[in-house]
Amino acid sequence: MSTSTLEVFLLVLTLYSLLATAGVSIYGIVARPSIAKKIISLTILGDALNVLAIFIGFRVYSVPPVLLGFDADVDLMEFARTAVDPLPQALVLTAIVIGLAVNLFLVFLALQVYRLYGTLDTRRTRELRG
Amino acid sequence: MEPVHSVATAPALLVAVAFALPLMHLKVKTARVFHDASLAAALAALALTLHAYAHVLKRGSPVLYRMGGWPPPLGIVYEVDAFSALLAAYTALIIVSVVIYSRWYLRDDPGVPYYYALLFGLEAGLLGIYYTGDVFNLFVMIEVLGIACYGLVAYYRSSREAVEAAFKYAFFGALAGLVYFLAAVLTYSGFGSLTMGFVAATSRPQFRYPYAEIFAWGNVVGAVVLVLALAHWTFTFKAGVFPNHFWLPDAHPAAPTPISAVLSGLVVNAGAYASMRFLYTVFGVYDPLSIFHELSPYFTTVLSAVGAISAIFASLMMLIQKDAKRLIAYSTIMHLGLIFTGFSLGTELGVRAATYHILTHAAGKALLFMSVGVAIEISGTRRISELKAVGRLSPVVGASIVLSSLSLVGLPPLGGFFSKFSLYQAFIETGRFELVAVLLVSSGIALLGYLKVVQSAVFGVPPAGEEVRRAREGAIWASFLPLLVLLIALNPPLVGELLSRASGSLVHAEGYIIEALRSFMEYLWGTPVGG
Repeated sequence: MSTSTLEVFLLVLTLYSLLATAGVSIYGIVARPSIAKKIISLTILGDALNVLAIFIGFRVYSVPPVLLGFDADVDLMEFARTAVDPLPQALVLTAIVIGLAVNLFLVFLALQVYRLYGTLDTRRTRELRG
Repeated sequence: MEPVHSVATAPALLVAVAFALPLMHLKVKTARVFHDASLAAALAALALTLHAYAHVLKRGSPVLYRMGGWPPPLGIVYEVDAFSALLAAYTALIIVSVVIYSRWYLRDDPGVPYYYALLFGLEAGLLGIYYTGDVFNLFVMIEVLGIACYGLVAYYRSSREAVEAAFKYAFFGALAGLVYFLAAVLTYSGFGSLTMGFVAATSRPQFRYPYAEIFAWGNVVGAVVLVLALAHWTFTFKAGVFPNHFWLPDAHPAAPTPISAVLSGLVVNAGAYASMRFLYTVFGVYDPLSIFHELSPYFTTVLSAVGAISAIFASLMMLIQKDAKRLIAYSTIMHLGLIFTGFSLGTELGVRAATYHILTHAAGKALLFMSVGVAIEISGTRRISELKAVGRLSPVVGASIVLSSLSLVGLPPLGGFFSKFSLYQAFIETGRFELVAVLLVSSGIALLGYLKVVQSAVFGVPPAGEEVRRAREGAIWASFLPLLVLLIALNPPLVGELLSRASGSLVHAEGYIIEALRSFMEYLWGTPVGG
């Protein structure tokens, strides 16, 4: 029993730490004036959401999502209910690849901003009025 | 049923062309070759989307394409109905005219292969957004569209304005993408499926399908409010609707003029389309059969308020602009606001009016950007007061500026009048007289804004010197003509039937759901199931 309580506790702890990480990164995106820190915060937010997606596919007391051969004894409903869901992991893989491309582009733009303005401080690069 | 391959070929072809053009640039250095190849690719995409549209219309129910043969809840599917096929074909048509205009605008530009690569990436993203029948694939396509747009806004990468606008757009676009990713994952956690047809079936209790209990095990109602709230943050960002409009007046003018036309005329529609697809088909907030129908008053209130604020705010902002392209960009926010008020009503007439307004706005806005772009190019400035009256030298440019402005304002017999009139009818039908006031007031204020541009670009001081000859080239004629024809052809007797089919297929989602379930059961039982 104590192991299961610990597992649930760890799961809840993971969830709260993920939400806290997302909150901190949103603070970084909104409040930090440096473009570099904004991009770092954005990647942290992306990672937090990716881990959250994997967390959503996770089951306590889970089994691996693999059926070796088709066995009539296996209760398919029970298996579907307890196996770790592999689909969110596939989604995260896609999201990581897309995130790589977008972050690379953002870093290039930040470099270009630095070349043109000589600073990465958004308070001093603001020429457009929105 | 035989798969309709043109559905899947159109985006795939465009992505292939987008990657092939920079590779070709290693061997071929003549810009003309790329202009010709791109025109051929744009025409091929138009032919494919038209073929798909004709097929959907002939069949009378949505067409489902299984990627790699995987059936719906397991694999990614494209599901094309009369609504998405119409928007996709229309997008491909306007892109053709933009490609012809680019031939004039970027004649000697050394970056032409990369420009076209991004433009076709953008078109592939748009077609993917319209065609996809999968909630997560929509995320991928939003990102494909997004990254092509950011690249095109930053096309003039040594201009401070372009780089700053592109950073703002790309940064918040990446954030919006993450928000939608969370929405997609939460959809999966609630509904156990990412296929739009299956999520829609789970939302409506009368659709039961085999193994439904394996798929949907989560807390559906709790997930939906969060999913719709998060997804709409992204969709309003993409559509440039208040309060997520802040990037649009910077990013649209900073891009090359043909791209301004594409961003303002076509890309913003993707946000409106996705919002309509989610509210009507996927979760059925506006569908009385859906278990989420009780949410509809909240969405009507929020979206019509957001749309009304966008329309009034943007039309007022148009008055104080000194930059011609910024003025037109604000007009985009205004029109998207009207489109959002149209479909927020939840009636078939409202959807029809919103769809109609998407079409007339896209043609009018693309034409206005491209024709004012000629004046900007010849005058060498974007300040409205210093624009030269190119309209006096080139009748087609002058007529385009005047007619597209008047269509955007809503003057009969141009398309914009009929779409605004059907918005008016939809507001009256639901008794929303305050929205009628918003429609009339914002159009009236916007008229003053357009008049400033028309006054200096058509009736002002004519230009002189060498540059004048450029305003009379054939490519301008060829690119403006299709859009001018559209402005006049978009009237109820000609397009009324297509619009009714489109709005009918969105509001009555049964056909969409049945097609997805049928494909699944065909796979389960291994035999064709009657349509």
